[in-house]
Amino acid sequence: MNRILIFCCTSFVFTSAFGQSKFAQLDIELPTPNEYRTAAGAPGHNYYQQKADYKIAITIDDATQKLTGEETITYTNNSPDQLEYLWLQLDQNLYAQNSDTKLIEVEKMEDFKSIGDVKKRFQYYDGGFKIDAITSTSGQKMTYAINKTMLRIDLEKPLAPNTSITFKIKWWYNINDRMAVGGRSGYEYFEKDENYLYTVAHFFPRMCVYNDVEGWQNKQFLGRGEFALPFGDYEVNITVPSDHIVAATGELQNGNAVLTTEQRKRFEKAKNADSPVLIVTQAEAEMKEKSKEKALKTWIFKATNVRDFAFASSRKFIWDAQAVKVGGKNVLAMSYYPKEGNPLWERYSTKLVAHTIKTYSKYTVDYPYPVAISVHSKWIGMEYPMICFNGGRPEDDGTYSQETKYGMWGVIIHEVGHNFFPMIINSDERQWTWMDEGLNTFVQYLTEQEWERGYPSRRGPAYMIADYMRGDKKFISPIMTNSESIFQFGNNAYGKPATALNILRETIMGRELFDYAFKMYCERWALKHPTPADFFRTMEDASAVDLDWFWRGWFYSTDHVDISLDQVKWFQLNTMNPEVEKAVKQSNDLAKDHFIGDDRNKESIQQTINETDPNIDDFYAKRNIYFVDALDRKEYAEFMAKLSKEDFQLLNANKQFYELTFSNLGGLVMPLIIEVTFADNTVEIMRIPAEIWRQYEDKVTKVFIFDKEVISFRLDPNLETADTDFSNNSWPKRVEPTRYELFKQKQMNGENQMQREKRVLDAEKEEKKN
Amino acid sequence: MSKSVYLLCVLFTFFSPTLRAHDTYFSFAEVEYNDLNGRLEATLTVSTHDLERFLQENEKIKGALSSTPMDSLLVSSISRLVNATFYFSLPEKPPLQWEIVGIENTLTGTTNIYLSSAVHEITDSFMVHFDIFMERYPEQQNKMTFIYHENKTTRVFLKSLRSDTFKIRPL
Repeated sequence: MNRILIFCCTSFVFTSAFGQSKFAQLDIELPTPNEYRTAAGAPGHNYYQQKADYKIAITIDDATQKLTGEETITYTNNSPDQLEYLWLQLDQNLYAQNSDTKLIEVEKMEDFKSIGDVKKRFQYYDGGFKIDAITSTSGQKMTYAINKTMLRIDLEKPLAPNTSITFKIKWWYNINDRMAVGGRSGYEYFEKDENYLYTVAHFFPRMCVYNDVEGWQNKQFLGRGEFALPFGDYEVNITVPSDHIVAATGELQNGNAVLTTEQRKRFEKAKNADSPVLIVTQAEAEMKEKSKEKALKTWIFKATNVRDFAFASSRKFIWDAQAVKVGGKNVLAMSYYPKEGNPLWERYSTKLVAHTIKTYSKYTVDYPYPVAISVHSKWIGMEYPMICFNGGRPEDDGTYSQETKYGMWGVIIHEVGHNFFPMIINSDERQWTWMDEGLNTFVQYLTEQEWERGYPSRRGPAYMIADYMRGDKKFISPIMTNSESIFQFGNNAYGKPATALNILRETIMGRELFDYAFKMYCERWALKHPTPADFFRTMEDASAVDLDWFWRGWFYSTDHVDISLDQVKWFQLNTMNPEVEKAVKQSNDLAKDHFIGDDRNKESIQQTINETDPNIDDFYAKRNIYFVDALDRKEYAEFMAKLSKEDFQLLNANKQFYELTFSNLGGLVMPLIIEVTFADNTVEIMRIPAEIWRQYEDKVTKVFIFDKEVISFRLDPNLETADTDFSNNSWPKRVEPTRYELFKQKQMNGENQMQREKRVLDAEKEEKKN
Repeated sequence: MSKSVYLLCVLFTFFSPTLRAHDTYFSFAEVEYNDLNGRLEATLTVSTHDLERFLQENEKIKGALSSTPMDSLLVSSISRLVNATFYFSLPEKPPLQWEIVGIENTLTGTTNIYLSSAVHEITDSFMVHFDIFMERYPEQQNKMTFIYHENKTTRVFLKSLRSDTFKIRPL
């Protein structure tokens, strides 16, 4: 501890060339605002978007798993531009034999260790769209060109602003075996009962987005960067075996033709039910599994102002539904699942859909569509407007682990949540995965926490991203990276942005400011096409919080958070009172460590010369440096005379001064959140905004003044900044245990709790017998 | 041109990983040299989903990992996977073999595999090979933090960079 004399008479203004990197305003990184998108982050006064309306008729051949279709597209050009050609997406061509997706995969000979690896390389699946014809409404053939996953239709004359064109496409393709080939959609074959469950998407040539940002968004589909799609109205006729149940984007138009009287009765009941009502029971579905009808039925669905259409079809489907009230109207939450999904699915799926729709509507915008559907689809999670395909399958014995349950809950919340990002707030997934996955994962976290207190969310809390963010920056991508080029897709596009938004909400902006700004972004861009700049700008514009440093650090850089508490210095004010200060000095001197030789000499040397000879000690030897003399008292009196009453009180308040030095080792600037523990064991949290680093990005010092002595300081005590190294966060230093050390005490027995409960019942029966 | 003979030992089912959505493709290892017992002690964290898929397709162990009895079949299956895809090589010595000390599934979808090596002396430098799941998932990225006397070094492993050399800083 040091005692200091403070006379503050000069304040220094440091100007520095530093600080212009991490705190520089985003300027060249963002596009110039214009009539389409404002500097405030809102749609501009001339904002426009295209419209694509579809009338589609498809048939699934259950014997060959082949889908044939015909569509009539009406495309409306709301842009101010003339369009010489139209671009459509042929996503099924990802599976074509000449697909770039296979060619661009990096390989090494180490990848061919087994015969299975070699067979995989020669795997054959005849995938991809087979286009039969593209014609005008009058039947005239149109000129077109296919470039891998993109289809260009050349127009006889350019499509003028505010005009429409209608044309027809006929096609077919072999549906992929999702369990063997993989994919976001496809079929699953159930060997035991010899039935198929189809989850079908990207099944028709779809219009590309044309807008003020990209022109035509016709970047090839390589498998990872998902979709960019315009809004439009759909009418889709789906012809399948007559015993199938079909779930689809939109509302069923011909229930009378495809549902039984009993099913229609149950369906009507579900429309006002606040808990799931079974429309097709498990017993009914199991009956149909055996019969396998050959006749066909056509299900008709209509959907308004959606960006895509998907459906699922199977005779194995159990179907339940309930209503959920959003914005004063009822939305029908529904689930479709085979018996293999039970008991999990009948118990949770529809309730999760209802909860998700309600919670997301609170944080974003009211759900605008009439239905929201969850379909059970082993292993995957994939989203489409109003419908999504979700994993989470119990064991064959009907039990399930907690991990399976939470996995199913999480995937349903996530995929249903995608209705909002990107189905309603329609960002460009092909370019920016984080705009839908990151924002969705963030609201997923909020929704999970409102489903169950202490829900073990996979992503969102800051500390969960630390492993990903530390380490060699060569192999980490900034969030602002095109979807196809990202290292570590899940952590980069889902986890890191969700964490960043959580940090904004909890630490940087506070919940009130954040929630208002986030909802504003959603309201501004609902049923429109936002870009990253629109999001960044709205969050600032609606909150008056300068977030450029945050976007720069978290979204444009690969820096990580590692703030170190390097040094703590303790000071007290010098009271100038000689009675006090000299006593303190005497006390400090006595408390100093002694050299061992001095202590031993006290005993071993009987008498020194100056102790026997009185002429040796002079003035200096006889002087008592701790004695308060008249001059000390006079000078103190003069000093006191100059002080005001307030100055005197402050001087004698026994304030404790601590100068803390922090280093920014990770590069990512963050607030300093410091837990202070005092000698009386009370605790206080100090919060210093990130702007403390604005001029000195590598090292800063800060003085804290307390009434009590401090026994410890700790950085980021509530795990809110994603600090990657806690070993340098504490004074006095704390040794952080490794995960291995934490595990040493634990034991695992390898059965889920439901299986254990069954063994308990068996043991009880045995006890009774005996 | 070099000609190599590969062991054809494991049958994989067909799978095109780039067509799947929403996977993690990430493993993380934290390894410390324990001066007191002369062993490397490690925690290997992998996606439970990826591990279950591996066990189902290569070891015929079906179902959720947390519902599978932690018997010798399961432990030896995971041990084979770990020792083939995550190992330390010291100069002029065969790769260190890991012994599985424990396996723990978390509710957040990861599995921690706790590992301990045989006794050996720490050397100035050693090579680490860490390519678990890279054969299956081209996008797999693994990361390891090595801790020695509180000094931490973190390295990234990719499909194109499966091995790396660690150097111990002088104390």
